[in-house]
Amino acid sequence: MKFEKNNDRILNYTDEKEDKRLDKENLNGIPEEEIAEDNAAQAAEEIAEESEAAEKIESAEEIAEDAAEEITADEDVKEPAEICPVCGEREVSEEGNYCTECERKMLRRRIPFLAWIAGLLSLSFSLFAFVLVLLASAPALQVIKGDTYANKKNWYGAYTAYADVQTMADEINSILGTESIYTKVGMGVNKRIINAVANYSSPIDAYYVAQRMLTDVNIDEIGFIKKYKAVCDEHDATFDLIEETLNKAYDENPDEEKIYAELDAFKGKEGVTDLYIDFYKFAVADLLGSDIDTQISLLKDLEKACLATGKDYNWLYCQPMAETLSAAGKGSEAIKYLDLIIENDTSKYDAYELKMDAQLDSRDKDAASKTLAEFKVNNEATETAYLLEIQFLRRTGEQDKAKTLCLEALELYESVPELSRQLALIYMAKGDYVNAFDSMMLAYNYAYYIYQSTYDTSTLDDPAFYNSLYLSAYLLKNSDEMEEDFAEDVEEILSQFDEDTLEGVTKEIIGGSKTVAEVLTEGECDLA
Amino acid sequence: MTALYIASKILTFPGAYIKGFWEHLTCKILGIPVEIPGYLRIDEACGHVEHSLATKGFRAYLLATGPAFMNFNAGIWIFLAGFVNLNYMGITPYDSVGLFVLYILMTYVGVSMLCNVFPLVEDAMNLYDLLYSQKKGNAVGRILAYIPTVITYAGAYAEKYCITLLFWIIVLVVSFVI
Repeated sequence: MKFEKNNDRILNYTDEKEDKRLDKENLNGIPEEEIAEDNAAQAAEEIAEESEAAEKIESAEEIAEDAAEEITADEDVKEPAEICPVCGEREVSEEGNYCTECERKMLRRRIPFLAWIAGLLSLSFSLFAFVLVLLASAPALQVIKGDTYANKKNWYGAYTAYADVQTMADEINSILGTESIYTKVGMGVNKRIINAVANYSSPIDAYYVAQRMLTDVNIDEIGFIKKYKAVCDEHDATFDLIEETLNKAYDENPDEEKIYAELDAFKGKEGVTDLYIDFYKFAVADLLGSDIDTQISLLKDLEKACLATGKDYNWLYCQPMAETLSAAGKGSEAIKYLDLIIENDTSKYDAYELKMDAQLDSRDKDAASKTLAEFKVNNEATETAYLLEIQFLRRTGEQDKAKTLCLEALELYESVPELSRQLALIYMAKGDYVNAFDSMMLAYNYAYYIYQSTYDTSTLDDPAFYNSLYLSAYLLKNSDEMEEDFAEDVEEILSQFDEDTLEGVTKEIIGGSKTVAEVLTEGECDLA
Repeated sequence: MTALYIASKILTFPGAYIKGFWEHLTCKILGIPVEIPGYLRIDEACGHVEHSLATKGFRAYLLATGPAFMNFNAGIWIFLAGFVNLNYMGITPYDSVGLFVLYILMTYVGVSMLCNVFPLVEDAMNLYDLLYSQKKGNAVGRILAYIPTVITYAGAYAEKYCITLLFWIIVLVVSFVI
């Protein structure tokens, strides 16, 4: 760079000088003597200037030479920088970053033994982990399915999904032919099951389920069970104190007012939770068949007591409140409570059924249809979705469609007693008593199987169920279709019931004041 | 930032050490000189081996993605085995202390391996430079390698600023705590 600058300076300088000279030659109108004198003087000056310029050019050339020397000197200095950064002694090889010696050493450098161990261990550990993931994948996917239901507040769906996890783990173990510890279903799944029960039913039921499920551990020490235990304890403590008073409701001539007064006397006592007193006052009124307004008034007291606690006691009063209001013909008021239940649990079949019934009672078929559609969306491909639709079709006079759907549902869920009962009701309404009795016997067998395997008597104890069973046997016995093949079963069923335990509509059919077709095609289209 | 990076590597030392091993092994296979073989050094190359940069596109690609592939594929199953059994199968000390500890360990080792997947930023930059600035290697290869290269490039920066560790911590907190 320095060299180029000096050359420029030199060239500029010589150009300026030549220009000046040409300018002087072109001057006009000046006497020749003056010009001659001037020329002589100029020649002398030029000689002096030229000698001066020659000196300058020489010095410039020297500068340029110096600059060129400097550049080559710089290039010579760079060479020693290419020293191997590792040894700092030898020169770096042509293609590499290090000297040949160091590069050879680096390439020969061994991987530490510990690193080999770590690497191989990670691979074998990964293989073992892969097998573990395979073993746990199906039950884990079932848990994820349950979690998806739980996130949608579909607690029944969540409960059934979680309950299948253990079945899947057992199946894997049976395939493996051993009781592998790696397919163990842990406390986390039990926690999910118990939480689902608490949301679907009540915290008290959740605690009872926990007691039955977790027999190997002291459940009172498990954190998540403590809240359910607290609710259960406060209920049990109150119930123990008032049990004797409650039993008076079963006396021959119970004094309703006296029982209420005695129950009220327990309020404020140590160990008593007042809202359970209100709840059992309603239970007594319901048992003794008090008038519906009294029952509603007692439930309103219970609601106030529950709301005053600031805790969630919807599970205690919402369903009975809705049922009582619905029975009193206050469907729209009942729907408010049913919506509260549905808000917390989108799988609550009882609440949807009651809501749909209330809407059909008020002849709002569109609203009932919307309720059905909502339930079907929330409970897609479940037996309850079929059940609600079958009931809707029966209540809207679509008996044939109801029968088709019922048969379709039974192919998928044969062991659901309520589906067989619905089919029996359809047959009864059509006067086909043989098929009605067959369907009811199927329902009875499955209900009895449920009782035997789970001690759950809710289906057998359901008035709608046992009235249907009795009526199907009674109608077949008194029909022309009665054959010897059924006689034994029919007599056995009829002998199990006392007519006093039957519901009013069943008695009316037996008494002849109403026909089966009338009862099963009007109003609720059911026997209880 | 370097201190944070070193802290993250120490926190996930099993994965960092194994990543160093895969990197060293890849260098050996590809004939790339390794200057400093220490895997857990207290500097900005912690969890990696100090090696000279690859000069060919395919070698640079293998050096950047090979150890990542090994650490990810080994780590993901170890992590899933621990995570699925703890989070979904719900194994707790009430069920079996031994199994619980094993699954905790598997989750930790798995996450530590998944936190040490990407190469050093220098290696990722070298890869990008060779393939897409200097255009070394054939065109089809460069097209196929584009997405993995971009992921590697972004991942190298994410690992440098401890974003991968932060991501896995969030995953675990959301799964187990919330």
